[in-house]
Amino acid sequence: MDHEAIRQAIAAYALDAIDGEERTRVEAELLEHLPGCADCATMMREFRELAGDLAVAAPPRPVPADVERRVVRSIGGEPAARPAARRGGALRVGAIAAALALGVSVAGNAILAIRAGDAGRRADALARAFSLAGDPESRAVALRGREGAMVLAFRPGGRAVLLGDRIPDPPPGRVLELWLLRDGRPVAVQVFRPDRGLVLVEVRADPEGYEAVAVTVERRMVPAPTGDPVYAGTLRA
Amino acid sequence: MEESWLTSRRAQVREALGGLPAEQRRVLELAYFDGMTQSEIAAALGIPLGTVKSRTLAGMRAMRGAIARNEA
Repeated sequence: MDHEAIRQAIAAYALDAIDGEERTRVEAELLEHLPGCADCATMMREFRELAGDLAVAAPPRPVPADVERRVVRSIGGEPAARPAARRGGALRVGAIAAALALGVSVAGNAILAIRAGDAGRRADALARAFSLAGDPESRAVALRGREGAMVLAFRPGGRAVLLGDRIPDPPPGRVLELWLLRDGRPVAVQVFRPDRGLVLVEVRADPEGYEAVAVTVERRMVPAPTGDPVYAGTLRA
Repeated sequence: MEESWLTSRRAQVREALGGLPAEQRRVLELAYFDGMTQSEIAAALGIPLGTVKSRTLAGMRAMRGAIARNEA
């Protein structure tokens, strides 16, 4: 995506007007781009505020019958059937994108938007992820897969966090395993499972100096991958 | 006091929206008030998707500028 396309995507994203099939790709692009681009991060913040302003200008009209159910489901974390979930899902990921762009100050709201009633540990991890993303020295890399995308946010020499939303569970009895690759050789990092679609993993390794990051499906933590990556991204120097 | 702020904000936003060229205002209204995606807007208006994207960005920029000028 060139810069103008990114800006067009920010405008569409702020209005929640991106098509379902394109949204995953756009979210990955924005999550990768925004933390490193102050102008676009500002534009995202201002456009989301503007979208909020538009609400006060909305002409009076009847509220569709299923709106309340969709909103409750989206903040309660229960999956709603598509396409009814379009706005709810976008609100959850929109909160992540906005928080990544803005840094730690909005993390609290983002947590509320993502999932109500979760434990403090999750909130702490999310807050750390956002403070990392708000750090000008931090980097964010998108891991793309057939079913959505995750983001690895890290500060070279410091902390690293893996984030994802609406990530499907691996098959029963399987886990997801995170790998860092150097000279084409995978180094096992840790295993994890999404929690109701949400991935929030504090990574026990420093990604600095590695070329790529990948996720495979395994029966347990193994020293070498047994299959192809289901998510992968490039760590450029 | 809160009500008067809301009333004044609503007037500002409506003025900014009303000041947009009609083609930009239309894509914003369909996206925000009617909940349509950009592909749906393109199909409804019979225009290319790229045009919807560029009009959306132009409209959002113009509104942001109009509201900022109003606040200054």
